[in-house]
Amino acid sequence: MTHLQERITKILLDDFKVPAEVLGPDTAFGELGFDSLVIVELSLVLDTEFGVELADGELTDSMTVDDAAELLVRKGVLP
Amino acid sequence: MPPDREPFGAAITGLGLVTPAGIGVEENWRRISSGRSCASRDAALQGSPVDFSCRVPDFDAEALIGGFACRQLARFVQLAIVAARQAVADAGWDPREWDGSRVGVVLGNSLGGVQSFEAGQQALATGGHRRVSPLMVPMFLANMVAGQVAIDLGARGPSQVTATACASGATAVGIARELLRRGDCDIVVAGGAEAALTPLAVTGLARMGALSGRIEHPELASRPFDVDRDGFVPAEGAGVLVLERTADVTARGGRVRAVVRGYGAATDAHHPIAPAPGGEGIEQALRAALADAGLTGADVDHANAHGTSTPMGDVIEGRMLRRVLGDRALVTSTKGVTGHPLAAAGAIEAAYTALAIERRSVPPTANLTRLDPELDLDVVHGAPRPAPVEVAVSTSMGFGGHNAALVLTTA
Repeated sequence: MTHLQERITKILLDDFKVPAEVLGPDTAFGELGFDSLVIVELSLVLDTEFGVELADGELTDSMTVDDAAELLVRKGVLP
Repeated sequence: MPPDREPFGAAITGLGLVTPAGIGVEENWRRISSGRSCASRDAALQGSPVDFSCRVPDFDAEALIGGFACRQLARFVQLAIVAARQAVADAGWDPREWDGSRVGVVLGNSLGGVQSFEAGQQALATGGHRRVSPLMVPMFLANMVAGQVAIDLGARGPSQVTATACASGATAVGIARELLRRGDCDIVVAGGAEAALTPLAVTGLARMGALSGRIEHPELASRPFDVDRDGFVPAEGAGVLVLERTADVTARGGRVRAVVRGYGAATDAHHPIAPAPGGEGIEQALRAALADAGLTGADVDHANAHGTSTPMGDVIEGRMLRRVLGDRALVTSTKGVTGHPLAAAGAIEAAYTALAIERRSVPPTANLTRLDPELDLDVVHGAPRPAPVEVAVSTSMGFGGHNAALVLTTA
């Protein structure tokens, strides 16, 4: 896992209290119980944590930790 | 003249309590019977004009409900979910097995998820609109307590939140009984929840002059009916009752803890926050509740009073109780122990009233050392008073001039 993937995973575990046993690199956020509101909440947290600005709709419930990391890298965040 | 109605008793089959007096019925009853106040200094209120409160001790929402879910639930909803689960289990029901379409939810609340609202305001002021959480509104809405409890229990019958300020919990129990009487559902999860102990909300209450200013001795601050009372102590909590038609309970072999036999409501139409000086509204509500039960004041063995420990409210209510009930009823205010959990109060106290009937014991009013000389009542203090309580009333008065009264009896 890259450093960035680890940081996103830590946010999901510590801030969103996702149980560790259900979280894998390929688990879609939707499968974790994230609805559209929680997805917006997650992009808010990622914005603050990584100093980026994710537009509404950029992060979706079909994405995984890997996908989110890729998205952030495209925004200039170091992997 | 109103049309005659058949008498109707709604059986209380389950109780759930998450209050400053503890989590669970037994823990609550022990603390309430001890007559020791739950008030203490509150770190979250540091710097507020009143910096003490009665909080639910050791409430671990993540352990009880799950962290992921909790993050999206305001505290008043968390308290309600735990109390509702207790009550349903106590009634002997498993929500996976009941017909959810016949289960209703009626819960009282006033201030909603005020924490979410405050956090949203802060985020907007400091970071602009993009910092405002999309969960702010769904966590703030007062009605979410009924919506979320319904989700948790799979209750798909009628649901609503009652908002009659500090009478909300009693109003909810009264309306729940009507749903059963009308046949709209077979089981109602009824009660109230409040968790608004934030610096903003408490400061607002303090600025109204409603709160006790006894900051040097929080544990002595809530003293209903005592001559030295000076205001109420803000509290949080949830109380939930499971109500069913008595015949249904008999048919399924369930246990009846007590019966809600009467409900009455009336409005002061006098002043936004000051009770009518003659107590006309609460008297009308109590007399209506007794008439609904087919009883009179002389039948009443015990009254769990609203008694918040305010100088004006207690004397108005106390004189009214004497007028309606005479001098025989054993009066108590459990707010001496719990403080005042606002919209949850009426439901929590209905539960305590049911326990007083079931356990034949009237809990004492904490901190009552010298009864206000304006009052001529037998207010239990010092220790619980054993008594064969068969008929009891619980009274509630709310800002807005809302008054509600419940009559509870033995099965």
